[in-house]
Amino acid sequence: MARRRVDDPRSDHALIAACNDGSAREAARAFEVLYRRHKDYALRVALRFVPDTDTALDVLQETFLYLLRQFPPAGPGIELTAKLTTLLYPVAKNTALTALRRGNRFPAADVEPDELAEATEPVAAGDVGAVIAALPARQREVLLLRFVDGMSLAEISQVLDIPLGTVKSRLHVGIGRLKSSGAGDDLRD
Amino acid sequence: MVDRDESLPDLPADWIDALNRVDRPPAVVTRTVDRGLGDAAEAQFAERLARPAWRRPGGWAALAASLALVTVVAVRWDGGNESVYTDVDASGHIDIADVLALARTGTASPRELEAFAQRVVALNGDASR
Repeated sequence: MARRRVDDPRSDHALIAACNDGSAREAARAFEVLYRRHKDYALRVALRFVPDTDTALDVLQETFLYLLRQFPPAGPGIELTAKLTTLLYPVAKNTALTALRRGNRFPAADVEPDELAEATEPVAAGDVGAVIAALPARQREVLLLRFVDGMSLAEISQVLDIPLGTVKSRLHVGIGRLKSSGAGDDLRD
Repeated sequence: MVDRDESLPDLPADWIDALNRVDRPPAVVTRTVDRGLGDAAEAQFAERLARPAWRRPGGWAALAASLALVTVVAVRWDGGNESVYTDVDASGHIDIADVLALARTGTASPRELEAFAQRVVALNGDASR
């Protein structure tokens, strides 16, 4: 897949359609474009949950293999009703958490998303990055989805499979913690 | 990227920048991963070449159309069933009376009777010329 640079103007929806119904050559080409377009995002998501690049690369590969298996003849095809990232995010996240639970590379077992937050570095006063990193995982996750990934509240609700009200709640609490921490005062002044 | 018209709390731009910094930048994806996925995709999609036509996308529609065509042809062929062209009433020749006799037996379909009648009329017409 690293054989040539891909700059394809087609939308994700068009590429998904080509993977669903195109000829063997068209489908492989469309999948390659999708992969190149979204691999950095999938890897970034993986790195939010796993601690090293090697595992993240495994997660990236598993994520796209899962996507590949959804297309005929292996699977029934994909009906894309939202942005592809809303499909990729939960796959990458769950694959990453499974990799952690599997414990092949890490001793941690039965890792829950909330526990991951505590693995980050301690908070330093005035350090915005440290405050963000020290947030409970569920709040940080919503903040990242909203302000880094640029997802709407509805999309966050979809990818996390939680009610919209819960999304808003986590967002409010997360932002409140950031603001009350005093970190970033130097940024605002 | 973020839609601002939703009713939700917002963050100053500097904080959003900080969030982006916390989110670790992607590492370089190795060629091994690229190639592995590329090979997997080519292998999976190549199976489409070997699949029977009815399993390909749109194959069911094509199959349905084929069945419909076969049905139409079969029905029409059924109407031309040679087995009904017999001297049913044993009169020594085939005429419209045989059609009526066949109808009374109840063994022929309306389509067969119609075809039988048309043929008898056509044959008689030819004979009269």
